Amino acid sequence: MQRYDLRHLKDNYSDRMLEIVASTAISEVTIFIIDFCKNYDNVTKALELLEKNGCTIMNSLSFSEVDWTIVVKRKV
Amino acid sequence: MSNVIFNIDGIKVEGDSNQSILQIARANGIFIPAICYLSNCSPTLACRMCMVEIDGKIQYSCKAKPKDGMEVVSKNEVIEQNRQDIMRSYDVNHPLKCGTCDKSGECELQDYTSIVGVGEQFLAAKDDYLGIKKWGKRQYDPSLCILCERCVTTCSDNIGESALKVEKLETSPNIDAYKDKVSKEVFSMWGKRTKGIISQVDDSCSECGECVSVCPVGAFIIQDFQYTSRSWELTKIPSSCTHCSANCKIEYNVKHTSIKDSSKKIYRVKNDFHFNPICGAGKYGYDFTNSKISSVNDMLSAINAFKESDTIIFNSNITNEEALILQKLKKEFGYKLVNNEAYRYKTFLDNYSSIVGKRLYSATLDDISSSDVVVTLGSFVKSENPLVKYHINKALKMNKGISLYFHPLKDLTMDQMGKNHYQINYKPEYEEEVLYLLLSLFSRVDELPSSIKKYISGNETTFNKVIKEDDKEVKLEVKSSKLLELIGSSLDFIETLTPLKDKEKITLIVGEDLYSGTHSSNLAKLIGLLEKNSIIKTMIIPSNNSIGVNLICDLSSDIGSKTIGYNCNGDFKISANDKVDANFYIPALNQQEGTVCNADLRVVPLNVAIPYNGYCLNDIANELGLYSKYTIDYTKELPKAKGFKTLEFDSLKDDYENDGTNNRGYELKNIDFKINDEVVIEKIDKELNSDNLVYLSNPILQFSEYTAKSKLLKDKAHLFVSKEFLESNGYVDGEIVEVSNNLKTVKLSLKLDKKLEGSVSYIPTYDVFSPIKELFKDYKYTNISVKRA
Repeated sequence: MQRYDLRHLKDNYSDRMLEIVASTAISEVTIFIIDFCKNYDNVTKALELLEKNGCTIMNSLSFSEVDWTIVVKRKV
Repeated sequence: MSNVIFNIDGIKVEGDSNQSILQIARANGIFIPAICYLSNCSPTLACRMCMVEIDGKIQYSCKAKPKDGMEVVSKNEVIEQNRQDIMRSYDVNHPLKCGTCDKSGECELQDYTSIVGVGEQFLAAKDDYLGIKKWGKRQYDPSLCILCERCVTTCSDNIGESALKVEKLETSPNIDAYKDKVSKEVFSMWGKRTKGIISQVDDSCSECGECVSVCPVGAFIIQDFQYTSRSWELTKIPSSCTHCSANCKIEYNVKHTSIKDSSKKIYRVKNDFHFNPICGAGKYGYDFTNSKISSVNDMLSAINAFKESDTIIFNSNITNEEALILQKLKKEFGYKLVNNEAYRYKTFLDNYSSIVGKRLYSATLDDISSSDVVVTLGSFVKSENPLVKYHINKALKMNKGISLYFHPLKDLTMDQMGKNHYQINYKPEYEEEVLYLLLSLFSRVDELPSSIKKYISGNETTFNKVIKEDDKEVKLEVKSSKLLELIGSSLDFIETLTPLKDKEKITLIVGEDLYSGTHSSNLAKLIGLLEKNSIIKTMIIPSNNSIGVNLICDLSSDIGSKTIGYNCNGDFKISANDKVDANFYIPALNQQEGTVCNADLRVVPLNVAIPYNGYCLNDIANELGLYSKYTIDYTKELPKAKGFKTLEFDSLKDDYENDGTNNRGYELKNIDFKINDEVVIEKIDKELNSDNLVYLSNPILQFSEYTAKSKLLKDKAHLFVSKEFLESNGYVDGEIVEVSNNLKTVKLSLKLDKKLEGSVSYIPTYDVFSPIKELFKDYKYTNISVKRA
């Protein structure tokens, strides 16, 4: 299990997120933290992206007033 | 109301049949979990944690009433599973920000999740971001909110503003998949929670901050406090608020200022929100500590000044112990002790006491909240003593009582208390007419002095009323009193007033307006007569510690040739306010130990929130020849003959028990006072005309120079006006005007008070740098002219 802080990328986290998912092993758990820029669409976008790319969403929670954390497990 | 005996978990308990099972359990030391319930408020049934089993059936103990012989089970497997699932549902999507949340460490979500043993999470719901609301000094984060509705409850049932409500969300997550996984009680509670959010009703909030106090999680916070401290880093210092005579029980939360600065700083004030809701001044106006310290040379100058002076002028913003030191200095050195606010209060109280035969008034806060009728006369009570207003609201909300509010200024804040509240806006100087009306309504008129009987009967009149009887219009002649018209009401208002005669518990609250001005002796006597000849109990709201000062000090009305000003102007000025120029500085009231007498007729303790490393009055007194190591050595010497107890300061308790039993300090004994059988009501002419009237009173949140200097409430003087005043004169909010009368001319900015109606404006007292008080003589009302500056 590894944790990735993508907050510095603001809402441009997609490419790096996919790169990380691709580098993880099957059944590996990954925790992402993103700056969702107080726009929930960014969270939805991330969740859809992760699900579409073979991840199961384990948890998705607000982490602070500006940060969001997503826990995923790679299934394929 | 009767006594009931029943069992909770096999333990025999006793309580009142009107109380809930939860209240009785708490009073008997039995723990039943509850998040949404606030003591002495309406149960909301939002959290359902207080579920119990009564005769095999699940009921909610915050609402269920006890019966003799009842068997209550507070915990079993089913109840505990339900409680665990309730907390599990509260934990769904709760942000993981305990690391930065203000509430962490004192969070009821953390506590109860742990207490009920939530070990895994099998519930889930689609999350959403609802934004963060900034409301005045507060912040509301819906993602943290568990919708317990305690904020809504306290705002309605304690504060009387109903400024918060639960609003339905447009979209909410579908949780139907879990319908069979939890009980129907839990599913229904969770479903309701996901559909709602707290919203604020426009312009209804007075910023008392009680929504922050009651919030069990970090949903409501004070913006200024956010990210400044973890709760466990703060030292909790219990004390009493010193801004008004309510002297609410508060807790200063203190720690070092920063890594570089180890000096102590107050970060926030907390309160016992179950039994003592506080106002915004107590909540936000805490940083009035005196940072200035006088030198040894200043001390020598002070001693010389005391030796050369013959008068000490002071106000009532002092402790009983300071008052006793001043009295001892008077006895030793013959000083005249001059305190205008306490002296006015004393004169008023003397006139009242000479009729009722007691030194102090008869009503306490509990008398107000348990009244069937509460009459408020001459008090801008929301700012004069907010706790009294909260108790009036309690009488209305929880006791289904009726409020009659007599005051020249139409105050919409009072109307927010809801139905059964009647506001009568009489003209200034017509307080006597209001009292005659009350005498005619509530007293045994036959036992009143003949002149008063005659005046009342001379004002009797009738009005015609048409009613429908069997489809026919019937004309009726109804008895009324011309006094109603004299005080700005109408003759038919008698129909609202007459049924109140039969009520069993009536309390009269008298405010500062009555003990200022030339009419005050008459008014005090009329109040005495009203109390003596009826079931009415009276509270005469003191300003600050005027009760303590009067009981301890022999006050003079005349000033000598050379004066010491103790927190007042004088030839040698001593001050607890570092913002004013003074010859000598002393600790502020949150830097002192001591006691004060509050409006509830109790002697309550003050503790040191921030240490003061300079001199205080006791040091000067010691140098002058009195000897006492600490100021609080005088606590046990407070005059027993006047109603104090000979108790050491350190022996004074200051808490409320689980059932609300008040253990704050001790009750003053209401000693006998010599009765004067001859009641003379003098004829005094009215002087004011009804145009351009202005009232001397503070707005909500402000009391004195100390609230006005605090960081969060900082303000200077304004002329507070209604929208009607602005519009009828073509002024705009914030415009500078010249306010003048034959006594003084001052420039002030206009400030719109959205809760004020009518043409009467008001001027505050908290700005000690403005000469505005000089516009007034003794009375709190005067005529002014206002023109563009």
